[in-house]
Amino acid sequence: MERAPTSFDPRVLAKLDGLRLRARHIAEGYLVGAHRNPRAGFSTEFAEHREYVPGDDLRYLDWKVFGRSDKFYLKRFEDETNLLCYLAVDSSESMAFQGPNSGMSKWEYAQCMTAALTWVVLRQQDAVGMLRFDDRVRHWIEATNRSLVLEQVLDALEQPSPTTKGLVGRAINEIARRIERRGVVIIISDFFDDIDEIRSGLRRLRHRHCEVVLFQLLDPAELDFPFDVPTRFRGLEGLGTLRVNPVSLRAAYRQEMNQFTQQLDACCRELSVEYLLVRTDEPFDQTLRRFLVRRRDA
Amino acid sequence: MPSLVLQIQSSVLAQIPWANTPMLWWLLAAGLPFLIHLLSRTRFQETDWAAMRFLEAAWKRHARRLAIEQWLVMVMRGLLLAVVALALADPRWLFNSQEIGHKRPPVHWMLVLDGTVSMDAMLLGESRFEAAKKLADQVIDLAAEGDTYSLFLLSDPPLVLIDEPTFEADLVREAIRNVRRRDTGGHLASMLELIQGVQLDAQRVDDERRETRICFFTDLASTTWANIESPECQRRVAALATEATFQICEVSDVAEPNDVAIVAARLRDERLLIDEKISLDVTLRKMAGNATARRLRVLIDGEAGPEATIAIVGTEVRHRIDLDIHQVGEHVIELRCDDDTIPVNDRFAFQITLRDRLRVLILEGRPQVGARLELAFDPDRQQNPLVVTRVPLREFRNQKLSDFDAVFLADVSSLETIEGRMLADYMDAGGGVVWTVGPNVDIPRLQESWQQVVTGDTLQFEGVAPRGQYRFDAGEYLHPILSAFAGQPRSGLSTTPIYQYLRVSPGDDATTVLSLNDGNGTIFSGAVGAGRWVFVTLPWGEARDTGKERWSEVTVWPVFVPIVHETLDWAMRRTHAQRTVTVGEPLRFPKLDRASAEVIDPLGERHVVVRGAEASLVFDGTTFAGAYRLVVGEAEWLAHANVDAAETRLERYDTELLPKVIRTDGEWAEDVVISESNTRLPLYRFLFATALLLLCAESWLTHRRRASND
Repeated sequence: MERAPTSFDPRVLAKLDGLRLRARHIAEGYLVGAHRNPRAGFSTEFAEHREYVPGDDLRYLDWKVFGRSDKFYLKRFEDETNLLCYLAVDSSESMAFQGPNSGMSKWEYAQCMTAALTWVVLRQQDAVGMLRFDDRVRHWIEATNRSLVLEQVLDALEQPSPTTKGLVGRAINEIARRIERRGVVIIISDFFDDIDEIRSGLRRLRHRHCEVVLFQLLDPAELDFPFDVPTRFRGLEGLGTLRVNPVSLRAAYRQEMNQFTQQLDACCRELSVEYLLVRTDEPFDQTLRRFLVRRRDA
Repeated sequence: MPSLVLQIQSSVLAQIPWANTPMLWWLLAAGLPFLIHLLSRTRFQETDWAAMRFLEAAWKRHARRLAIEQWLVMVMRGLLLAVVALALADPRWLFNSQEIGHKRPPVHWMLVLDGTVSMDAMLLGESRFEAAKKLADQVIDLAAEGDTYSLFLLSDPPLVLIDEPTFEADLVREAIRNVRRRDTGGHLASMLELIQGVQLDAQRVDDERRETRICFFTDLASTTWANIESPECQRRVAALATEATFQICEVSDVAEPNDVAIVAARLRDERLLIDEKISLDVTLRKMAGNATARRLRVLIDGEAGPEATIAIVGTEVRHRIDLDIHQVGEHVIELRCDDDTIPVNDRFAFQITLRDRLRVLILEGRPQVGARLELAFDPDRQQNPLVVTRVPLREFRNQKLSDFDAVFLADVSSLETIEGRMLADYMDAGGGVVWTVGPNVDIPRLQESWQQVVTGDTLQFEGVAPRGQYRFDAGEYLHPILSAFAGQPRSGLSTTPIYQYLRVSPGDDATTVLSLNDGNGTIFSGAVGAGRWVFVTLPWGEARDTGKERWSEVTVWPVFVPIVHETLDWAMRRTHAQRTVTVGEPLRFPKLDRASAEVIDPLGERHVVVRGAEASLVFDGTTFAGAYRLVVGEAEWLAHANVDAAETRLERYDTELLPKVIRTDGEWAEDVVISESNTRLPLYRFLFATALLLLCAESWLTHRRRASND
């Protein structure tokens, strides 16, 4: 049975004009919901002091607090306690695809996701940066916990729609090469690229001790292939055309697509990378919750 | 596409007989799935697609399988429609399964259509002959490329319609379509002889080794096929069987036949004088069925005459009909019965000639010997329709014999050659001659003169019998001249005193009318051409000057007058008799100055008749019943031929009696359709079953494709 649309439904959000409004709606809406479940925050390590437990390094004991309260607390340094989060967004032409039954394109979904995550991270006083890439990195915003970064991210996201060919693997490699501080790197893309190239980039990131999360955005049409009449498919990113009877090719296509997502998933498992397959008809709050719950349980 | 269909029809489909040929146009529907496929290729939607690499990969991996499946489904759908269309067209023929699988050697088909009169019987609304034609057509349909055909008509005489084997099936079909049935019987031996001749010629000319198949399309009427038992037929069948196979394709009745034939119409009195009653005895015979009555109509010169409903009691019934005609001259009398199984034997036509009076010429061999004969013709000296002319023999040449209905030669021993020829021509044209001798007979001269007049093995004059007491012995009174005396003892026939007579030995061409008690004949009869003769070995006249002893008391006995009249009645000229024959018999026309003339048969076809050895023109091609006209300038003579009712018997010959080499099992023609109900192959059922199978297969394949794609 089809679920009743909520305010986080992409089809509903698509009616909101402007990325800022959408991102704020998602983030605030989600955070309001999150109060009901305090454990569902972005990071469970958000604390400046914690009680001493046997085995802790005694060099980090805060003796001042011990003198005042006669209790042992470990002192955490500023840099170590703040999360560094890089949001890498694929802006290649393939992200512009929007299926016949989707509320928004993959790019629009990625925009909203990125903006909302920026908002959430900032609200938790963590540092956030953003990368926009296609066949290479096009835009780089350094991570900071200043609220100014939100405007920069939104401005970057509102650049014209993607029209270039995407090489995700190469872009990830470039990110790995350029990133200076370790942190969480969230890559939002459809990952339509050679799996070995992607693996190479992810391995490099992991080698830089980055925690990596992949959001693979796929349109429902790309997963279900719902076409019933003879169709000529014009390939984005200059991939030519193909005229087929979709009914007779549906099963074969699905098999190919499943095989690809499974390979990507396996690659992520191999490299301890978190992988989330996101359909662009999935409500944003669900996507965020799915992601954050998995982070909490990790 | 339509041209393609036409090509197919003209090649493969045309080989098969279809009950409903227009349905074959539905074969065009077989192209519909392909057409829809082509149309769908021109109509499609377009969309941008990001995951192109996966789509291309899927396409490369499955394109071949998908294309094969798609074409398979299309072919099945097309085939399904084609098979349904073929089933609706209702094919009536399937090649012999042996012939489908294996190429057989070329065949020389010798098709023999039974064209005898019994084939006129109606079979399911069409005659047996038409049904036989259709069967022959179907055998041609069954034939293969390289086969040749000859065509024959079984009749009397039999005909070869196509003697040189031809490859052109259409030519044979055309010949079959045009051939007409004859109203004759069938001469099987002659037919086999003709077939043998054609087969030998074909073998001589044809380089290729062919199987010969002789196929009879017949009703197996016993009147024709009983002759197969004759030694000649057996010999010819055995000879043919060494090189050929025989097959009977029988056409037979499904319904009970019901047939009554007019077998004869006889005038009671041959004189046919004006203002005298003309009585006709019509004989009807029940040929088949259980008819109880028939309505008989008479047409006189095409006008409706008397009618009668005749009760059919027993096998044969004779009915008397009186005609009322008041005009001198020739008249055509036509008898018609209600149509039944065989229409052609329900008609009988003939001609009569009505006279105002009879004219008799008496030629006296010696003076006054004809006086008593003249008195016998008109004993009461009253106004008599008989006009007698009595002249001495020396004036014979001055007489125009054609003016007389009969010529009596009284005590004539010899004739001049020219006189003999005059008499011969007169008889040939239908005249009647009665010749009597007397005591002055000169036997050698008589024999010589007789042979000038009458040819053939007739009479041999031996000499005058010794004087004695002789009596007539009428025996069973079988001859028509004597039939009037049967049961009449007071007529004096058996008591007439006879003392002497001319002893005569009759030949095969003479009939003894009346014998004497010593076993020798005294009155003989016979025929020459269309005429008749009677020879009397006693004098029917008496010369006053003779001193010789009397030979008999006939001329003074009560028997004299009636026997003279009966003899005249039998012998006198029958102008109509020569022109009413049974089909197959020759028609004789009067002697003409011309050497040839033209005869128009009942179908309107013209035949040239040439005068042969006989004086008169003879036409021996009476193969159809009806009127034949001899046309010479503006003059026209009419004659009629009627069917021989015996040939229209419908008894079927027992096939068990056929030579074993003649098959009726239909080994190579078992698919020949004999009737709608018994041998037609229900091919359409197989086609519908095939259509159902195709439908199931198509549904399964489509379902499988859907299931695998979802």
